[in-house]
Amino acid sequence: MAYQVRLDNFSGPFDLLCHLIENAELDICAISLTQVVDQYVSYVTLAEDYTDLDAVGEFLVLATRLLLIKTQVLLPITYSSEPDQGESDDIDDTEELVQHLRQYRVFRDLGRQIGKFMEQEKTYIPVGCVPVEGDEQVEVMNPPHIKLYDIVSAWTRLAPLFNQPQTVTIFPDRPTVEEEISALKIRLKNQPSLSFNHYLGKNPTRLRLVTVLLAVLELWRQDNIRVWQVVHFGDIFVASKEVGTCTNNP
Amino acid sequence: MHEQSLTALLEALIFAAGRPVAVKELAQAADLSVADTELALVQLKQQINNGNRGVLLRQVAGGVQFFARAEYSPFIKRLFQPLEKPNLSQAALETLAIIAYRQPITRTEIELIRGVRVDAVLVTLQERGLITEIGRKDAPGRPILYGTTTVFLQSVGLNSLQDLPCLPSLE
Repeated sequence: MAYQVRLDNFSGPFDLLCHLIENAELDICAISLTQVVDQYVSYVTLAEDYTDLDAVGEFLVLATRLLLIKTQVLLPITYSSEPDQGESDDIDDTEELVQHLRQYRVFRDLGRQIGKFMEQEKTYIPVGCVPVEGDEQVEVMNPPHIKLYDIVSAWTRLAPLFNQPQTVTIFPDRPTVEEEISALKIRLKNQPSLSFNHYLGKNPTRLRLVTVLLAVLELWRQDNIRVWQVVHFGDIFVASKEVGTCTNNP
Repeated sequence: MHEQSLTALLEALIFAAGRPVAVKELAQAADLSVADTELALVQLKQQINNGNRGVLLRQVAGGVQFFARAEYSPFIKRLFQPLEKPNLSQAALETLAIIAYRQPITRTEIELIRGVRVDAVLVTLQERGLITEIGRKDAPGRPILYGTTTVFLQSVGLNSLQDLPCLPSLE
């Protein structure tokens, strides 16, 4: 088929099926159905790049019904325990679809006729007919003159917006409690005692404060250091045990 | 009242109304019996429609209304642009046909015939005033029943639903 098929050119799956049967100059009957099954299925699969399942869903439902009918024609012998009943079911199924399709076609044609009536009626202008005015004129406006170049240049302006590098927040490495312990040990080797606040420096992060405190507590637990305070809630002093006495020690 | 002035009275009423006026309404306004009004109306139609005139009396949507003769509409459109609704899609026309012939009908029943969902189409048709909710079906969920309106008859230029083309029989 030379022309491109678009499912949304058809008002529904039955419309497409009717179109195929009429295109092949066939009557709507069971035989016609089986003749256009492949065509119908290929039309629907051509549109498989449809992302909207809602748009093709109904077409797919009919496709499965048609495929079922075709299988039943190709495999006429039913292996059910009651072959007679099985066969009549198949016929019913096909006959039902044929009947449905005929009914659909009646309304499709009547719809077209109603459309013609409406078109005809437009030529009669009644007394008291409302003229187009003001805002409503917008409806009949032509689409704005857009050249391909305009679209391309608009895109080149907008394109960078879509590939902006994602912002990444980089955090400085956070020393672990173990690292703080070894850092404290080195510090205490060179220094007999140190003030906790001084060691932390100005405005330490909450995280560093907690890590260093845990390091101090751990060293204290291991009995490596001595810890004391001059006043309640005052600065904490830390000294290595090996270094011996400290003047601040009460 | 003279026969002459009777038809003139009806002419005035129909002209001023600017919408399809039913015989009953005319009879009431003219203080006449329905039979007399009908008789006068036939005369008026003859006078106007058979004469060499630019206007036409047409029976539309259960009433009579004055129209400009179709052949003059291109000239009228030069004078002013009448407000025209865009044409309906095939899907909308199919749905409209089903409702026109099968009313009162529910959405599900329409969908069964068309094989597609029709909710969006129904909204369009309702917005255009072509169909309306005419009740609820006495069934589970009490679904809405749809039917066509006077606007529908006006827009297809028919007097009543009986004037729709015959439904071909399905063998």
